[in-house]
Amino acid sequence: MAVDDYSTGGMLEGEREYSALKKQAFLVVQPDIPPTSINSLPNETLASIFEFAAGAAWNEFLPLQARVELTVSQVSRRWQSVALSTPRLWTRIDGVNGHLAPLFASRSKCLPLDIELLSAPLDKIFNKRCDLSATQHSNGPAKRPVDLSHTLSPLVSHTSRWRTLQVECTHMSEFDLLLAPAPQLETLHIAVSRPEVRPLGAPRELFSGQTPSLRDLSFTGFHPNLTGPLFAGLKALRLAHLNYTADSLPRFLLNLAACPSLEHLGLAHLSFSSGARLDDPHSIPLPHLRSMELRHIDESTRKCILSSIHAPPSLHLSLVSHGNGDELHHIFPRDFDFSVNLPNLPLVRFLAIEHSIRQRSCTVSGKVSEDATDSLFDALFEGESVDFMEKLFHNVGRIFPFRDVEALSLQCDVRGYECPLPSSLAALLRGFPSLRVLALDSYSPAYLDKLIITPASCPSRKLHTLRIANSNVTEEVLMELARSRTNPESLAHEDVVRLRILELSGYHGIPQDRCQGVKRALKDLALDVRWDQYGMTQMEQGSSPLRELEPSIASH
Amino acid sequence: MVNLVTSDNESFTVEKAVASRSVLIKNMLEDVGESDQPIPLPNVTASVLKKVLEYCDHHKNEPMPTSEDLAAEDTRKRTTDIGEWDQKFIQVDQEMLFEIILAANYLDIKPLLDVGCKTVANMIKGKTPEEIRKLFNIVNDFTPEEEAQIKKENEWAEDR
Repeated sequence: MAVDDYSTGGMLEGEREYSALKKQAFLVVQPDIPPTSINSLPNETLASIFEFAAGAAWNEFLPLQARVELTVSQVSRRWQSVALSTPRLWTRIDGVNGHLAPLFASRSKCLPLDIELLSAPLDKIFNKRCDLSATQHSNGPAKRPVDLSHTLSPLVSHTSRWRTLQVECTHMSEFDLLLAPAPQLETLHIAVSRPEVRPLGAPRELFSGQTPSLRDLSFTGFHPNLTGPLFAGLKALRLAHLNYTADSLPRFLLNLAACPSLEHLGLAHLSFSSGARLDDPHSIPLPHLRSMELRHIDESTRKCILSSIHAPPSLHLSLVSHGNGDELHHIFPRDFDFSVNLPNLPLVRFLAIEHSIRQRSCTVSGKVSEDATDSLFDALFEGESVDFMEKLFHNVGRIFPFRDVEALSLQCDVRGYECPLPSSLAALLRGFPSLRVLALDSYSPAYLDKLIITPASCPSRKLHTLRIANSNVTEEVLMELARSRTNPESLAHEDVVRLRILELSGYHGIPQDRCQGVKRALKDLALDVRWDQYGMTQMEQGSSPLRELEPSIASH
Repeated sequence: MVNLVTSDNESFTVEKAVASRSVLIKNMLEDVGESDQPIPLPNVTASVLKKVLEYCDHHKNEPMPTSEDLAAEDTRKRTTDIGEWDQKFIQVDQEMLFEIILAANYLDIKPLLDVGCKTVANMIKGKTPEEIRKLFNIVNDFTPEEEAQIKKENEWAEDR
C-alpha cells in the first residue's frame, strides 16, 4: 500500500474513548515541541549516533584527531557531556589511540574492552610463510608498530574487562602482562614475530587458565601450553608457525575434542615433528565445523588430524601444499574414509582447475554445482618444478573422491602453452567418469585432439556439453572432434552420450571466411552451436583475452 | 485497520501490520484489544507520520527485531551501512531527518531510529568539530578557557 493511499479524515469521533486513551500513562502530551534540529534530539539518541559513528569500521582508519570519539567531544558543551558519559565510545584501544589507554579505560567505565594492537591484519600474519618480522605494515594509518608494554601496562588492572586482545609480542617480558584472570575475554590473538622471543611453551599459564568466555583463539609463532584450559569451548581456532614435539599431538587432538562447538579451524606451518603418528585413532566429531584451512602442514600431522576429525557435509575445506608433486599422493591417509571424515568432498559435482604456468601453481575448487555460491573445497598446489603439473593432472582424480563430478572447468594462464602435456588431459579426464560438461580455456588444439573418440580411445563418454574458450583450434580438429562425438555408429558402439552443445568463444585458428561454413557444418551434425567469435564474455569478465606465450616461458 | 491521529489533527487509516511496526502502537492495540478507537499521536505531525508510515509499509513483512537483537548493541552498532531502499527513503532535508528520528524514538520503531542515527553518523564522518558545528548549526559554547584546555588536551593527538 502506498502512502498516498492512506485515508485521511477530519477530527475524531468518540470524544470519550479519545479521553480514555489520552489518560494512559504512556501518552504524555508535550504541547511545546522545540524547533527541530540536532539540538532537539534527546541525549540518548545523540549518544546512539556517536556510538554508530565510533563503532563503524571507517573510524578505525581515521587519524586520531579525526576519530569520532574525540571530534564530537569538542563540538559543544552538551556534545562533550554526552560523549564523556557514553562509555561505549571509549572501549576500543588500538595502535593509534594506545597512548591514551588510561583515558579510554577510565571513560569506558565498566564496559568490556577491545584491545587490538596487531601491527598488521591477522590474516596477513597468519598466512605469511616464514619471516613474520618482515610483515609489511600496509593497512593504513590505524596500523603501526606498538610498544606493547607501554600500551598494555595501564590496562592490566582492567584485565577482567578485556573482551578482545590482539597483540604482537616482541619480548618475553610482555607475557607477564597476560597472567590475570580474564573472565570476559572472547577473542585472543597473539603473534610472536621474532623467533628469538618465541618461548617453547607459555612461560606461565596465560590468564591463570581462567578464560571461560574465550571463543576465538589464534596463536602465531607462540606455543600455547597444550594441556591448558584455553581451548575448551572455542568456536574458532587458528595456529600458525608452530613446532611441537611428536608426543604433543595426542594432547592437541584432545584439545580439539574439547571444542565440540568449533566452527573454524585454521592450521598453517604447523608441525608435530616428522613421524608424528597416532597409535589409537581419535574420533573427534565437530558437527558445527564450517571451515577447515590446512596450509603447509607436514604430512604426518595432516594425516593424523584428517583421520581424527569427523566434519559435517557442509564443511569448506581449504588446502595449501608445496612440493614437487609427489606429496599429492600423501595428502590423505591410506584407506581414508571420506564419508566419515570429510563427507563434503564426495558431494562435489562441479570442479574448477586453474593452473598457472607463470606461478607454477594450480588451484582446484569444488562446489556442489556450478551455480552454487559456496565452495566445498579449495586447494592451492605450489610446485617446485613444472612437471608437478603433470603429476597433479594424473592424480587429482585418484586422490580425491571426485568420481561423481559432472562438470569440469580447466583454465590455463598462458594460452597455447602445452604444459602439462596433452596426454595428461586424458589422464585427468579418466578420473572423472561421470563428466557431462567440460570447459577448456586457453588450451591448444593438441588437448582437444585428446577428446576425439577413436576405436582405441573413448574419453569422457558421458560428455554432452563442451565449451572451448581462447583456443586456436583449427577447423580440422574441431570438425573431427564434433563428428566423432556425434557419429551414431561410434556412439552406438561405445555406448557413449552424444555431444549436444558446443560453445566456442575467443577462437583464433579458424579463418574469418570459413567461420560461417564451419558453423553450418557443425549444425548439420545436430549440434547446438554457440559461437562467440571475440570471446566477449571472457573479456568482460576481466580475464585476459589476449594472453600470449611469453618468450621467457616459451624458452623454458 | 487502525486509525492514527496526528498532532495537527489529521487521521491516517492503516493496516494493523503497518501500524504495529511501532512498538508503542502495538502495545496500545494489545492493551485496548479489538477497537475502532482512534489512536492519538500528539508528538507526530502529519507530514512526518506520512513518511514514517511509508517506512513501516515497506518493512511490514520483515520480522520484528527480537529483544536479543536489540540487546546486542555492540554488534548492531558496528556498522553504519544502510540498505538501498532505506538510503533513498532517508534522503530528506535535515529538519525532516531529525523529525523522523524523533518520531521513531517516540513511536519506538528501533530499525527506523537506527537508520536515522546511522545517517547522522555518516554525516559527521571525518569532519572536524568546526565542520560539524557548521553542518548542524551548533553554537560553540565553550568558554575561551575551556577552548584553551581542549587545545592543550589535544596536543597528544597531533601527528597521530
